[in-house]
Amino acid sequence: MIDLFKTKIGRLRILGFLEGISLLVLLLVAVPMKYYFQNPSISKVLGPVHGAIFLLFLFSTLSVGVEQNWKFKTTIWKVILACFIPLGTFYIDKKILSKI
Amino acid sequence: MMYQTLTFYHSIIRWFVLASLLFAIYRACKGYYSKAYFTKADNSIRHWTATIAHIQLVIGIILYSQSPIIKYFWSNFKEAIQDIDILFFGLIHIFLMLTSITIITIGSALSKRKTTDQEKFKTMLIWFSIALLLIFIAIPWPFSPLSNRPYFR
Repeated sequence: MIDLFKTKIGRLRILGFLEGISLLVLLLVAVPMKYYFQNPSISKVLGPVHGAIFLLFLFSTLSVGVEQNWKFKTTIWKVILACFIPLGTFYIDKKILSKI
Repeated sequence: MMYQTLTFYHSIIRWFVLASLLFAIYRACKGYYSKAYFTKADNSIRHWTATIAHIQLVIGIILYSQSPIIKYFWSNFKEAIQDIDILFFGLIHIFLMLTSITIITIGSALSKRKTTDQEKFKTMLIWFSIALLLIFIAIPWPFSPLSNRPYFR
């Protein structure tokens, strides 16, 4: 686990994990709370946090992608698409990032 | 409360962003023209310059979601876009800063990938200088024609 923090790809994987979790909590907990129970407190806090993690994930992908000369056609578009889709970052972590 | 704390940190960290960029550009310039070795220290400066910019980005994004100016901007778009001060924080600042952080990120990663020390310095020098120029334009300096905020708050 500690080793993950030491490399750029490891930090990207951690960000991907956090991005995926925060998106799920937003969709499954915060949004229903806001619209069905009129309680926007979770989405108010988590919304911006998720936004920040999302952007950090994008910039991290850019950084690792440029550094390791990833091909747009084979890798980059998948990683970028993944962070828009629920569970997407978990999928690319297993299929792509864990193998690099 | 949250908003004031964030503006305080966003304002203070600006100086770290500027200082690290200036120092990195100075090292790159010196290294490139004197044909020096790209040392471990140079590599740390490259890395930390990008990291400090990313920290500032995170604070900026959270600030953007909390700011009453931004809320006003998006809910009164038609009138707000006429006011340069509000348009500045609603679009210009965030657009220019996201662009410059992209440039810093690519520049830093490209420099790391280069194989010779000369190319490493040159890549850092060019990309970081362009980013510094954009950041300089996009900061609401007290003397800026776009929008004005104090040096420290």
